[in-house]
Amino acid sequence: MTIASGKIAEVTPLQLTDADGRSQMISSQAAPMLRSEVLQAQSANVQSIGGATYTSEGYLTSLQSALDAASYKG
Amino acid sequence: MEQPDGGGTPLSTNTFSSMGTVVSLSFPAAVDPLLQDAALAAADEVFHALDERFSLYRPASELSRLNEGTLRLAEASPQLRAAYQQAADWRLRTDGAFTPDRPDGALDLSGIVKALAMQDAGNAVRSLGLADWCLNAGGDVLCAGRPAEGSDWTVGIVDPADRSALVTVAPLDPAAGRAAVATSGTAERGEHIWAAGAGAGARTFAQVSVVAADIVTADVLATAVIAGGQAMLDKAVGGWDVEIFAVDRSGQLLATPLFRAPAAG
Repeated sequence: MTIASGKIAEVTPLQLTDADGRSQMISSQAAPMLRSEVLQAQSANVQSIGGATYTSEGYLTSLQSALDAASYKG
Repeated sequence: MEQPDGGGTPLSTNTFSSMGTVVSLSFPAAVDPLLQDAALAAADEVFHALDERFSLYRPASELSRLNEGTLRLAEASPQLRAAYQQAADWRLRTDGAFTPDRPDGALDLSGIVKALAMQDAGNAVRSLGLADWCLNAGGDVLCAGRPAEGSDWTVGIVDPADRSALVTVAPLDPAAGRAAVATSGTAERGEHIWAAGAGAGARTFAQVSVVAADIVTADVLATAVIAGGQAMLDKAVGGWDVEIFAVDRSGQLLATPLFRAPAAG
C-alpha cells in the first residue's frame, strides 16, 4: 500500500506464496469463522447427515437414523 | 435442533449393514420402487464383496492372509493390488499424513476401502439408470442429481461436541463438482488414523469435513487433515479442488468460503 499526501494512493493485493513458490489466492484459504457466520440448516432442511463414522450401534441413536426413519420405505 | 425430516422433500430410504456401520440409500420418493430395490441390492453386494476381501476382522479375508504372510502381494488379486496402489499414491500425495501402514507394520486399507465401496456402489446405482440418489455410509455421503426439482442435496454436519446437533451444512451440487462430503474425527469410533508427520505445534482438529467431486478424495483428505493438522489442511486447500470445514480441539471453526453464510440483510 502506498500513501501519498496522507491518502491511499495505491494498494497492492496481498499475495501468499507456498513452499513451492506458487502464489495462492487468499480467498480460497480456510479462514476462522464464528458459529454465527457459518451456513446453518434452514428449518431442518437436510436430506443426509455427515459426521465421524458411527458404528452399527451408534447409528441407532444418530441423526441419520432419525432421518432414515422419517423416509423409511419398508 | 428439531428432528431432521428432510425439509419436506419426499424421499424414500432403505438401509443395510456393512463394514461395521450402516449404509443408507435415498431416492426421491417418486422413483420406481422396484428400481430402488434393485439399487439397494446392488449397493449391498458391492459393500459385502469389498468387506470380504479387505476386512481385518475376518481372518480368512485376502488382506488378513497377506498380513499373516500366507499370501504375497505379487500373488494378490488385481482388486487388492489396485487398492494398495491407490493408498500408496495417496500416502505420497499427502506426505504420509494418509497411510495404509499401521504403526505395528500391518497393511490396513480400511482408510480407503469404504470410500471405494461407495464409489463402486454409486456406479452400480447409476448403471441402473438412476440419476438422483444419495448414499450415506456411516456419515460419509456421495450423491447424484438432486432430491427434487429445483433443490440440491444438503448434508447436515454433526457437531463434534453434541452429536444431536448440526454445526453447519454442506450444500452439495454434483454438477458443480461437489458430489461428496466425508468427515473424519474422533467423536464416534476410534478412526483408523495415526498421526504421521504432524509437526510440533500443529493445530489439532476434532473433526474435519471435506467436500470434493469424488468420495475417495474427500475421505482420504479428511483423514489426512485429522492426522496432519494445519499444515495438511493448507496443503489440501491449495492442492485440490475441495472445500473444508474443520473444528479444532477448542471448538473453534476454520472453513473455506462454501461454508460461509450469506451476510444478513
